[in-house]
Amino acid sequence: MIPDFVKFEWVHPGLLLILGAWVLPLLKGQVKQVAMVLLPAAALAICIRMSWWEHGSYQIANFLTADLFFRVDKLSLVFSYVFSIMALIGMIYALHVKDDTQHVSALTYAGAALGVTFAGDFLSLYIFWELMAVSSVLLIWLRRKPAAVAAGFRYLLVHVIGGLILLAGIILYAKETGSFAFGKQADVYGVMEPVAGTAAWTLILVGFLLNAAVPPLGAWLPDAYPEATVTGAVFMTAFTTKSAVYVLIRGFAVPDGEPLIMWLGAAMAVYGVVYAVLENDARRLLAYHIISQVGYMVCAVGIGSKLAVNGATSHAFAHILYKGLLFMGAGAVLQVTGLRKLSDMGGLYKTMPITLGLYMIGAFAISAVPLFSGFVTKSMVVDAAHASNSAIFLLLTLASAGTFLHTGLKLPYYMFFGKDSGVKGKEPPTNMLVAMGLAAAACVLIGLFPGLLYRYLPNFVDDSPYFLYTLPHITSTLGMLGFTALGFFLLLKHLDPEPKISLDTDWFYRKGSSAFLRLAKRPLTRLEYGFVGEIYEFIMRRFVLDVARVFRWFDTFVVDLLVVGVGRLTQRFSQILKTTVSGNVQHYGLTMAVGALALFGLAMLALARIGT
Amino acid sequence: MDYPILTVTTFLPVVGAVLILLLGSERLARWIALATTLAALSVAALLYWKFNPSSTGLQLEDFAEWIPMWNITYRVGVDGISLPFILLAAVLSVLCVGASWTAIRTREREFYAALLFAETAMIGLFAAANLFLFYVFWELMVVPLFLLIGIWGGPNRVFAAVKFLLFTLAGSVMMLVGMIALYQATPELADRPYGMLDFEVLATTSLPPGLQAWLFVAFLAAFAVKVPMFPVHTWLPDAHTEAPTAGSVILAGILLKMGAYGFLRVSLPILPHAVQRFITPMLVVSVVAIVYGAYVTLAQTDIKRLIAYSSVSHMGFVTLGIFTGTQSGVEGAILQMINHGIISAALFLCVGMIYERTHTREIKDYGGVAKVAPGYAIFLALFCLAATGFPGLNSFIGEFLIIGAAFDTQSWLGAMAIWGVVLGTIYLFWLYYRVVMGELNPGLKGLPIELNAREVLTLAPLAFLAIYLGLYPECVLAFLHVPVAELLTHGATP
Amino acid sequence: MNFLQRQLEDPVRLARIKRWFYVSLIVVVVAECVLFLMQLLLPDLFHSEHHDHWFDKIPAWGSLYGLVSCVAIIVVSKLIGKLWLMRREDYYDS
Repeated sequence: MIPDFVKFEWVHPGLLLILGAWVLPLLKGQVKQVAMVLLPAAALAICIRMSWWEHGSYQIANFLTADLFFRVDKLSLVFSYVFSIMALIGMIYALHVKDDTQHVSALTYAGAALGVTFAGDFLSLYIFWELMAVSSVLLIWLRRKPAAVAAGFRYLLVHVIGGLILLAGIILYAKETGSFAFGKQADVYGVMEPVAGTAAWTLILVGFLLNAAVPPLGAWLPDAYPEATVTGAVFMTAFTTKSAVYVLIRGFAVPDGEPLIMWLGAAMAVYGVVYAVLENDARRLLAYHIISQVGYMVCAVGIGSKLAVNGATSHAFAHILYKGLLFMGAGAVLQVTGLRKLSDMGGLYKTMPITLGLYMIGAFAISAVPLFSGFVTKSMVVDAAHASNSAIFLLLTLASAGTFLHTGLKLPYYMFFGKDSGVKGKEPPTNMLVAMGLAAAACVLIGLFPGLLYRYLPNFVDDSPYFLYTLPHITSTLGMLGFTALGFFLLLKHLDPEPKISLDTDWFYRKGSSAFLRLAKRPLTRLEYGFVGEIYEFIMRRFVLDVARVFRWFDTFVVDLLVVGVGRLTQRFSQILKTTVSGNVQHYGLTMAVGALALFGLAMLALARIGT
Repeated sequence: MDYPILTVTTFLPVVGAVLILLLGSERLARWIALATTLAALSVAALLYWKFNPSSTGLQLEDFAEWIPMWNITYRVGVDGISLPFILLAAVLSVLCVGASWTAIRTREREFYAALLFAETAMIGLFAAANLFLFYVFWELMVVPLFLLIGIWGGPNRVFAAVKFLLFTLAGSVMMLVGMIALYQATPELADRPYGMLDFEVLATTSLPPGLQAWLFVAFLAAFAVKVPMFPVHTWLPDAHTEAPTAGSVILAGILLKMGAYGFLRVSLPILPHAVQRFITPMLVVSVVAIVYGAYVTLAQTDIKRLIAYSSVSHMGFVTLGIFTGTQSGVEGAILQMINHGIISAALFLCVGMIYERTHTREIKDYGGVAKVAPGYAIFLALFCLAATGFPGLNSFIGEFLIIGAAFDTQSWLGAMAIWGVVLGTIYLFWLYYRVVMGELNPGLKGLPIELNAREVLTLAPLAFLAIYLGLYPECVLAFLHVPVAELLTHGATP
Repeated sequence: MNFLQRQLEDPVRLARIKRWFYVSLIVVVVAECVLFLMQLLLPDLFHSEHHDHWFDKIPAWGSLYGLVSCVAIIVVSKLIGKLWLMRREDYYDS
């Protein structure tokens, strides 16, 4: 069903990135940098080209009697655009990095995310899902500090186990429905509905929620993201969680709503914000914010209305860009000053004004300040909540206030303003600034011309445009933001960051795992060595060695005696014979002849026996 | 060319062994061994080339009268199930010679001769077309392994070798009794062309259920020890750990599979009633082996012992697949046997290589190996990933098929199997992390840990197979569709 | 001395910025109240999309909730942190 004109001109954009990344280590200098930028740009071009395709699922391969599908529709296209754009911006940001492994990992990671987006069946989804986990962990390990190695290991373990839970769900799902298809039809969402409530549904949901960093499964995110490399973290914010949002929309966004997911999302939005108050590490604070923002998207999936699905999609789109921008800013500070803790920073506005400015654009975007991207996207989610449930609406608005509080006020205040820490900063390398500028431009562009984005949304309806720049809305938003700022300045002295860490659900496998190991070590090894292994000893000792001792006694004192007796008899006989026969040879010959005769006789006997 | 390929493949290594023993040169021994194993591999490749995957029954058989009095013939042949194992045995034998090249420095002639004898016994067992020949090779296999462990093994080698011997012999005595009982119970087969105890012929017989049950237990004793199934598995950690690298490779790569192969060749086709009766305990024991084995693996501090215990867990998957009695389950189990043969051989090779330099197997003596030996780290990463069942590498398909079949049978079986995979992921990643990552252990400073060309050459074929089978498992599965279907339909009509 | 430094380090300019901030807050509150009244008096002129919840009936709801949220978050989070979640930095290093 693949249209003819693309047969020779099309390659899976994800595979383009995954395989094309291996070209990079072979190139040098300027050529390599051009290639670094060209690859994601080409992927983006392919994705845009595909918007002319007919929406539907195309079978691209057959693996072990299961068909692998490539699905094109509005939802997958819009996510693919933003993934490729972010890959492009991220590569520009990372142009100065000399470590090729990071580039290969980052492109593989982006390519795998594209693979997940276009997967029309669970098998290819699972393969790309695991590939994402493995390639992203490299971005953590390549920072090469002991803390990073440990955090990366925990990250990998959590993700692979999540993948296994997903796999269990997939197998059960295939048993229930008889196929591996994951929303084969285009423009259909909430495809898991037929198996709602079953074990398959739950397991797949858990697998998706883990990647979306929903508490209590999400502690890996604030644990691992701050430990990643400066440029790697920018990639990581974009792909894992947002591809999880994509599959959640595809699988679980049913029009009547799914209350469980809705409440999880709202709780998540507040959870991230609450933890962010306590945070001291700049990137960890931003990581908790990811949890908060993804909470909006998950909540929208739970609400499930057309507006909510649009909201989740547009919010994901905008979030990738402004979160990337924020991480790029914090990463720039980290790169230039080597500082990550807010308690160590301050006064950088003097030496890094451009970074500050670009960062603030991202901060305004995330806080949904009018004229920026967050305003036109987050509001969709919040409005959908308003139409559905008042408590959810209040929680989400609370989280919005909190968002501005941390990302728009606390972080820049302590990082750039505040006390003068005496740290000498400077603007980061140009490529980083260019990347940040691109992201900032996108944030502003979407904010000013939301129609540009709305056109690509899954439930976009042309004749009743969704218009947000109404006076009531603007004033209400400005009021909320303004008074949040007031609260911030009033309580400023209570917000000073302390050099401490906060506990999250990763406590269970960090402290708890030693308890788990003690279970494996003591009782089980005692069972294995003390009991099961002892059975061998018991049998050996009693039934073999002791019995053997009895036989040895028998052998020594009975059989041997007989033999010795025979021997003595033979000796005496030979003494007698010695006088008659001359030499040993004849003695031997006699014995041999007698023996042979005896054997022959025995054989004849046996044959005769068997023959009858 | 119409010469007896299979017999040549089987007995070529013995010829090589005899040559080694006769020639008396220590230095030449390993070269002769290498030549012989390579030759055997090329003849085995001929087998592969000539084999037709879609026809039923034995192919490429060789036949000769042997003991006409008892109507026992020498008959060997391959079908889709035994061919992959023969190829695996041939490949692993070559790699064993490569791995022992510099590791064995005393009594090399005897070592390589024993290795070659073992190869003959292995290939002969898989090629055997009747139970008598099967039993002969089963017993023959024990001797060279006993010598390999007991003479060239680690500090506790005699204990391990004797334990191995006693466990195996206890089982095979029961098999002998079973075999004789089977022989006595089928007098009507005396005048059949292939004689008594022929597998194909026996599969068509219908034995009384009571007898079947006893026979099943008798054969179970032998097979369960070899697999090894819980709780008769305790010989394995000692034997694997104390054996020299080549010994561990053969033990884990082939010997364990012989037990499961026995189930497929003897128990399932000939004793279908009994199999039906014993299915539940077999499934339960398999799952126990998976989870219990994985937990005990987690607690290990010796790398080789850790990999050895993981074999208990992995073989649990295999027996789980076999006893689900479904096409995908049995196919997955056989595929998994091949995969496990490749992967555990690779892991033992890796351990052996690093042990040659550091002379310690304790995990606490390692750390940060990636810093001084990145090539080794990459190989080990590949094999550890493959062992956890990562998609794209070989074990994924086998596990997927087995777990699917397990869920079909009983949901909790599938759940336990997944839990086993999770645990497997944990202990393998943790092992990798402690050995390869982090800071370089001071005890390792200055040691030339990185792999040399010969070692890379030894590991490369296994790495290639791990990836190739992961992406294209059909190349093995294609052989299995027909014989497994036949096996199961025979079993279904008791 | 760049632009920002000039604005923030001069106390006179800083005080002026603060003054503008408070003024804008008041402007926004007034605007909100005005709009609220207009919605009450002329319901059809302004598309009253969502007026079904209890809090929409409160004038200047956005500003009020903003302040309340901010204070609530800070207070509650700090409380949870002090009582339970905050630990030394080397807590996990065993």
